Amino acid sequence: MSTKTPALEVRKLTKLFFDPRRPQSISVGVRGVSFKVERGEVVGLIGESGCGKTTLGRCVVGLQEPDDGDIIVDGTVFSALSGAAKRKFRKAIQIVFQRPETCLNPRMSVFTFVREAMRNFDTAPKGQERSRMLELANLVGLKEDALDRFPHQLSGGERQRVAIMRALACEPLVIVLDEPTSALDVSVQAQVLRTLRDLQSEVGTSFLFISHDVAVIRYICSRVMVMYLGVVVEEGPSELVLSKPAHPYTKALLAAAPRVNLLPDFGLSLRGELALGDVKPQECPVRARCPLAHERCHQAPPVTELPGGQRSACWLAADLAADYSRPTLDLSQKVSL
Amino acid sequence: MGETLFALEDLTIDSVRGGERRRIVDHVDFSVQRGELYGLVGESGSGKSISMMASVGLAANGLDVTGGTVRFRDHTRPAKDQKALRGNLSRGVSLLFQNAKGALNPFMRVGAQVERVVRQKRRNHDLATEVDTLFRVVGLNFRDLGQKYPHQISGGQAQRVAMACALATEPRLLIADEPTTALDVTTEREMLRFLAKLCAERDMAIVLIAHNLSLVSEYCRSLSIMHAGQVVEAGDLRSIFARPLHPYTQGLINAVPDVDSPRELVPLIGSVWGGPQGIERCRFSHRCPHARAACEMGRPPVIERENRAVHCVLYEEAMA
Repeated sequence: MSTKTPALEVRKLTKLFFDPRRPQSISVGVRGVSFKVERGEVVGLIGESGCGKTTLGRCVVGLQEPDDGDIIVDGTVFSALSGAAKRKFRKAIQIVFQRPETCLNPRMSVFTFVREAMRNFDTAPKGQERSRMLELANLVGLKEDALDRFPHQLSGGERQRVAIMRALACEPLVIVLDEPTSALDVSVQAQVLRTLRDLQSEVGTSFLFISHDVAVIRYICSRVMVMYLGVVVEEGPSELVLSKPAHPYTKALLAAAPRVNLLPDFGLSLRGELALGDVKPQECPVRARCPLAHERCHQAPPVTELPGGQRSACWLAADLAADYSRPTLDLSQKVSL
Repeated sequence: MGETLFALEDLTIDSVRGGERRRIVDHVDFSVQRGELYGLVGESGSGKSISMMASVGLAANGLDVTGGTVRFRDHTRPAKDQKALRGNLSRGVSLLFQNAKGALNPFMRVGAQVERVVRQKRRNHDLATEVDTLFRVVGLNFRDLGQKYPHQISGGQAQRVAMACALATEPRLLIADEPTTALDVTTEREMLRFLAKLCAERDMAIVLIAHNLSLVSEYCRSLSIMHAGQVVEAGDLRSIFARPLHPYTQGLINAVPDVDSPRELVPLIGSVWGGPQGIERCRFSHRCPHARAACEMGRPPVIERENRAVHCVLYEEAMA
């Protein structure tokens, strides 16, 4: 395969969950999402809970069968494969879950656990398992003696490192990280984020990083997609999207993000909570909560292309991108004694 | 300065497990003014929840409260007397927990749960109007939600119902233990704004327990930062954020990614309880970039400076 093909491509992926108790309200899930993840790229996916980001992640790794659409890994249509071919291809795409304690086997030591992944996909010759394991442990920042421990003997951060190590042991092209740091304490989160970033530059694996924390996404991702009720409302380079958002929802997410600074309350805020009953198909999904909503929003807005590769699904996209001004905090002043 | 509503003085709690004694809350000291939103911050396991629970007599089994006093309104009680402290709950302290759905009874309609609290607290009262008002105060509609069960409502709504229960007693102090951790970012912000509003309107003080510094930064005026059972820095929030003095506070601030600028993260090394746990010493020294011999020589001195108290030997020399 040439290096030009994206590591992962998703075309019109749809997976909806119909709620028979509420036949009137809109189904949740993912509706017609398309995107590409280039080799070695870190793409972020932000949104509130219930917006379909986890469903998207699960469909991508094949844990859920999509209703419609294709998942293309390294130029091969993954969703069309079956049997042995599919199994062989699973190696290319791995997942790390939010809560490491639920994905580790309590009866297996770290070594046996990761070795299982290696053997499953024959990624290390029998004799070299131990040395390969040490290499991986080094990459994710685990000490050698942790290899012979059991999950209950590890801290939360270490367990998450083991989960990342297992994913890496398969030598995948893409790793889907589903909220990998939200169950961790701030200091541990910083350690894991640092590890992930260093890892990314060393190994060159692509990441699809799912999170609800805007700051974390900004720290780790080069490109970002903002999801709301199953559709991508805005996407683009994270520098651009998170400093000059062109969608009211992104603005509201940014305004809601907690900050360590003393700026006055500012910006847009959404009304109420995500309520499915208020959303009608064919209209803008954010309309019911959007403070800027107007008549035109009863029709789903087109995706507007903005300079710099930013795309936003809002009628007001161009205006919003232009007038986002906020005082920036001077961070050149380092915190010191 | 307002009058002091609630104060912990030298609160000390040991955990006793299998004959082994560990000091898990070590001389915690702070006071909350009337109608104030006070922050209590630290990583998980730093003893923030345990201190606050002990202050209302809810220290868990296996915990031995060995010393200190708790002051609430005009009563000062020894912290050892957990039974007497439990009385604080009927004298104007309410609790709000992290997991609201867990705090509600899954078998009872939410309206009935709020009503039950109202009925316990006051007799001969118009229950229906009271419950209706409480729902309105927390921003819900009794007619829409009152007949629902906890599993039928969203996390944000459940937290508001729990809030209505807490407010039913007309508390002077609300202990909110990570009330927004389980909520979405947008809902979280709404909830905090609402808490701040309540504080101002109802002359109610709130102790907001949080592990996220940035969360308290916008709404509290003063805070305490705890590490391994010790308060490391406490005082005026603006001064602390403008210039954090304790190495732990600096570490916490540097470890959080910033929304507005992608700066490098400096993770704190080690873990809260990973170091030596002697009583007469600083318990942060094993993670501290400025650790020195003096850190082990005794309890860190409390230095008052720039509207806050910092518990660290580093500032001792500068004072002399």
